[in-house]
Amino acid sequence: MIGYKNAIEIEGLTKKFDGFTLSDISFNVPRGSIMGFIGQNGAGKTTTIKAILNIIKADKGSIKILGEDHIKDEIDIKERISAVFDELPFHDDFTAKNLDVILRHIYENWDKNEFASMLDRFALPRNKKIGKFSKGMKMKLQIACALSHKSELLIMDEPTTGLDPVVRNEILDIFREYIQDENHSILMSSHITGDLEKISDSVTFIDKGRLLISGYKDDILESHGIIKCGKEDYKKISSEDIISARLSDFGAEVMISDKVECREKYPGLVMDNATLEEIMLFYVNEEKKEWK
Amino acid sequence: MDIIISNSSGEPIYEQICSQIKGHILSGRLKEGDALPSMRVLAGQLRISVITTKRAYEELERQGFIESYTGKGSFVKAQNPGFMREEMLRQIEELLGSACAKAGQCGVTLDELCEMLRLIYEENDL
Amino acid sequence: MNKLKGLVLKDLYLRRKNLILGGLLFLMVFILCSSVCLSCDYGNLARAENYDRGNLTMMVYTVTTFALMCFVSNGSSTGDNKCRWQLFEYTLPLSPEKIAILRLGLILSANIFSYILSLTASAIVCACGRLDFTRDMFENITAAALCMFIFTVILSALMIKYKDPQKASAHLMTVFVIIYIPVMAIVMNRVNEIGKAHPDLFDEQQEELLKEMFLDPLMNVRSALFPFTVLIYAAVIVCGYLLFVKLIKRREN
Repeated sequence: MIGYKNAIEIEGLTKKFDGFTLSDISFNVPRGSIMGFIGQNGAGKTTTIKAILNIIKADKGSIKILGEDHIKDEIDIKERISAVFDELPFHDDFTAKNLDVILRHIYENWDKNEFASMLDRFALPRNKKIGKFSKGMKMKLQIACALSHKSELLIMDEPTTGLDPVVRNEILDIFREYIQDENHSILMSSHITGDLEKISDSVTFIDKGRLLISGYKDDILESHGIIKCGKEDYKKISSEDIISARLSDFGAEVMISDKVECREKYPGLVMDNATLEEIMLFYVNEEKKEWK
Repeated sequence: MDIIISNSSGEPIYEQICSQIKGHILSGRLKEGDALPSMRVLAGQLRISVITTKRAYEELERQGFIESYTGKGSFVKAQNPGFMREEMLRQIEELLGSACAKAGQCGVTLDELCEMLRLIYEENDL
Repeated sequence: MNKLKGLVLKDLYLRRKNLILGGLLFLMVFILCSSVCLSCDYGNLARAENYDRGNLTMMVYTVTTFALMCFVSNGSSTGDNKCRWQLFEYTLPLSPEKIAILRLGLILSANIFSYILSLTASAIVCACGRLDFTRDMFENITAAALCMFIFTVILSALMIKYKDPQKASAHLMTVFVIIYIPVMAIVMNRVNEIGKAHPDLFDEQQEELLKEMFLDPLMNVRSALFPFTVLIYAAVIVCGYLLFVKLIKRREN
């Protein structure tokens, strides 16, 4: 196996559409890790993923997958990666057996025994038309297909959206298992921050086509905090420390990005840990500075 | 080896893992030369990020409790007893520090505090 | 080649039902037309005096039309876009060249199959009605198959470009209309001219003149091109392939 440090390397990705621009996106997914790609609906997650998969051509920027150029070595790359989408991209009339036969010919490394054991594990019927599957079953089928040809990288666009908590946890467990192999990596986009908080090693936030923040999840969660204080105290907080502040009639919630420094600067103020969801909310409103 | 992490304690998860493993080593449950589970396996079992376990192990190595060898894994390092005692003392000081802080908050005097300590020590049959 | 086999299988799985229905429909039409022809000797038409067997050529062309339409393929499966199979296909290790070959292959094999089927069926129908299988018929059937081929290649290209089958058909219709209007205008013009120039002739004779004016040149073109059929097919295949590859590479979403 060739040595590559990052499963995905994106540098300066830019793409202009009518009414929406993806501008200057840069981040890396280190090998052997899970990157959570967080953003609202319409923030640009799907566009970025499509650019990575060369479904859309970028205006500017370079993308490397598994150490190779994503356009020049496209076919070779696609043998070794799998894409999973929020909706099952197969015809309703197919059965799991049909898919096995079709994909067996398309992928060089298709392992039909692996596929069969995945179907058994997920309790998916082989001869039933997949149009009749439940939502959870459809996603599990996609994942079974994704994991049956020795892929090194899973690229997933909102794989857990619309699923009930039990199924979601089952699927997250499958991802955790996948990542036990240090040569496997995952890029997963979602707006369900709870899932990504549980499972990701790094996170990247995107909003309105721009990158907000990217880094190790632990670091981001540890360094960010929310100061909860009254209006008087709020005025004392210097604006360069503030990401944004949510004001109410009874006080203010202020997100800061350096808990340690702010504990020293503003002793005595209540400082809470922030969840990924709160971080997303406050960063989305960064330009507004103050919001309700 | 039991490791229990709490999401609601103020302590970062990697620190919790660190101190629990330290505890196992200091109490003798983990002996010199014992192999620790791989970072990945531990992360998978605890359902946390491998970056977290990596950090915990790096911290343990930095503090001299374990040694990591690429390709082989991490192993408990020989502890010299003086070192262990020092670590224990450090932890006791920390706990006493929090006890004093709380005492200060509600006006418990030094005498009252010492009395409490004596009772507890005797209760625990130490 | 293995990869193409996978996609061919996919196409066959999905077209299974349609192929069977198409087959049944064709069979029905074939039996119908053969019966009509047979009835010239053994049935009702035998009783009609002086029934012009020439009318039976309609049966031949009916059978041909259905043979070409019932098994036609435009290189992709219906619902590819609706169910986002197309999206999934872009994540597979398939080069644009392979996909182009596949599409073209599907279109061509359906076309050749229909062509041979229509020749065979027409021959049988002629035999039933004791008609000669004329060179004219042969050339017409070949021309029809070729036109169908060109049409499906163009439709397939539009499908690649516009993704939505409705959008593609709309574009095709637009082009068709743009060509159709001036052509019709010219035709109607000529018809009127004839009407004015020869007001004294009966309708049948006017028909004869029209035939001479429009059908005969077409027939001549057809006959002239006939020997080059294989060449034309080859040319369409090459152009189609290059066009497909270009369109597939240029995908935007």
